[in-house]
Amino acid sequence: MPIFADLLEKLSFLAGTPAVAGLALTASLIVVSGDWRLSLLALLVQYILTGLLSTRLLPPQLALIKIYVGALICPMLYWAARRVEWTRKRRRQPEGTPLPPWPALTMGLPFRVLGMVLIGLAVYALGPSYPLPQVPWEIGLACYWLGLSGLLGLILTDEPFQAGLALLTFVTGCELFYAGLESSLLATGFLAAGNLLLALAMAYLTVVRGVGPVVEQEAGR
Amino acid sequence: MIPGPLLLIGLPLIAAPVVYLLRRWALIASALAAGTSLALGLACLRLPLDEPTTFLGQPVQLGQPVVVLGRELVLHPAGALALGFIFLLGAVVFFLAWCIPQGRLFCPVGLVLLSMISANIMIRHLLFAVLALWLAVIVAVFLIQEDRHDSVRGALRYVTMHTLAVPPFLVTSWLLDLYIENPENLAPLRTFAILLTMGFSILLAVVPFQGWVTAVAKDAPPLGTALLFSTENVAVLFLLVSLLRRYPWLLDDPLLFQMLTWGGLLAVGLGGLMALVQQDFGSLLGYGILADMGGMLLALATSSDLGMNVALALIAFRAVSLVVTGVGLSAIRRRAGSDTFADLGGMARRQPLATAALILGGLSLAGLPPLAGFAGRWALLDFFAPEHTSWCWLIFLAGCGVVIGYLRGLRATLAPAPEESEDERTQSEPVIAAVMTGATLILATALSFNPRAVFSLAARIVAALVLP
Repeated sequence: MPIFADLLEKLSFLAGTPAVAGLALTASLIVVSGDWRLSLLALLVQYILTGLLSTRLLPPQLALIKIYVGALICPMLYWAARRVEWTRKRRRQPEGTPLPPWPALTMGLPFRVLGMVLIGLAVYALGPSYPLPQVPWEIGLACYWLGLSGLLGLILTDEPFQAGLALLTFVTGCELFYAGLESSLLATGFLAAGNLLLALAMAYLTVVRGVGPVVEQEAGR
Repeated sequence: MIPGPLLLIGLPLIAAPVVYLLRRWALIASALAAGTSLALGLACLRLPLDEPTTFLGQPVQLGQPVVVLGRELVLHPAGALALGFIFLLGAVVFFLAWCIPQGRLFCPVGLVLLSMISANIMIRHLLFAVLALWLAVIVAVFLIQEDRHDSVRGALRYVTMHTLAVPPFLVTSWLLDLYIENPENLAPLRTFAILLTMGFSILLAVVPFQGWVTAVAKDAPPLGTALLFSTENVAVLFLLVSLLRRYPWLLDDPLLFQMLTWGGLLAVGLGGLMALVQQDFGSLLGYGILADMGGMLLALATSSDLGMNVALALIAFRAVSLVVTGVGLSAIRRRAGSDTFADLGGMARRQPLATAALILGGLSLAGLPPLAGFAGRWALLDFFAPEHTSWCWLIFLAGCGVVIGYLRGLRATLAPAPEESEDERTQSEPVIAAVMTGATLILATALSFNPRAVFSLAARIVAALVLP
């Protein structure tokens, strides 16, 4: 614990514009990227940056909880995605047929990038016009960016893995805003429990969707 | 002395892992889950709240509050009655899951769900009540998905929509806390109205946020659908009414109730219309539920005691209809591996009791006399007849849409099977499942001839939870 607290203090110089810019980048990667490893890494960095920004709104111990939650969530989702990938590779493919990509993207890359550009414009318009109460303006921008990117990610996919990342991004944005409103241990604990359960549910759905049909096919064979 | 909140939240949580470990022995697991739920349901309905008593040999006081990190949990008379209903419903579906399997996680996850819903009803603070509901919703993902591999749409939509509903409540809760600390520092009423309208519209599946209802009905195990839609609706209604009781000035802005009215009318219309054209029983069930929920929203939108009474009675009658149709649908899905009309030829002959339960439960959901759902539908029509005749016609027509949908389904089950092996032709319904299906049908029919118990329970809850 003290090691992490010291580390958090040493990194406190990032808890401003650099963290906000980093969050914009990670949220964009989660929505745009089709590579699950990259998306998951972006999610982990997102939790660390959110924890850093939260130190400006919450006591450091509570801000650390957010980083711990991220550190627990990412392995859960990693395990689920890894399991899906192993199962897909094990599956017999007809000669010369490449494995279809996973997670499947319903919309192409240009569309997703365009979507993120629109989100950027929306944040640029909303941030100054409707500043969020009780939080510094740059944190307000990060909240808007995370929340809207999460919503866009949810709209653009029906894959549980990507929808899970988008939903967790949306929740992270809302939590960051809420950290400015209330800093009670019970609320932080409840939200952390919700995040962990949500990630567990999404990991479960990812495995069911990715592995289930293969298992059924093999059982039928 | 064990305080009531600790008992109602803790006992299902303790029983859940034991039930999970015993899942291979369906009878024992179901009996344990049903027994726990039944005991808690009877305790809520029978035991006094304000004096010490004994429960399973242990001293308890149900009404004794518990404080966790400064937040109070307490069981009020209205909460006790509502939880009594919820736990009794849980007992019924857990017991039925013994002979009509709903999946290996159904009973343990169902118990955790009931525990979370209990927490939601007993927590006094809006924020933590909503967060408890959110946790319940996430847990329900495992119940909805169960052993299905072909679709995750229902579980995904359910958890996504409910998660989107949480942030407006977070902000509302903070604004209300500010108001309590300094009543003069009240945020604009419109801000509260917009936030609450957003949150409750999603939780109550107001059109256009209704997509999760049909998706869940199609994907979830049918008895899970009955449990989810009944318990969650009661919890959300409680949340709304508790909020209005504590802050009656929220009623000064009509936005929320206008949204409930329009959303309710659209839900009734959409549910009835879409039910007409469905090609499978899962979707048909979803649209039947949507039409019924629309009626409930209309009753709720009147923000009167009588409206709340009718809304609660509708939930209770819907629960009965869903259990009956769920028993039949489970048996038929298990036998045919599908609930699409085109795949169910000959089912009425091979599984007559299950088909009867499926169709009669659906017709009850549509409010057809003399089935159980008719009492609730009649109360709704009676409530609106003096002032809103056009709404009554819409509700009636939506009911007709659902009836026609189920009659189309019945015709499909009566059609000859395209090709049947000798085994399939001679295979009859499992005896225990048939007996349980028959018993469910008889009990539901008995309730339809004596619906006073349901109306009395609803009236007692509303009397204990007076609207402003």
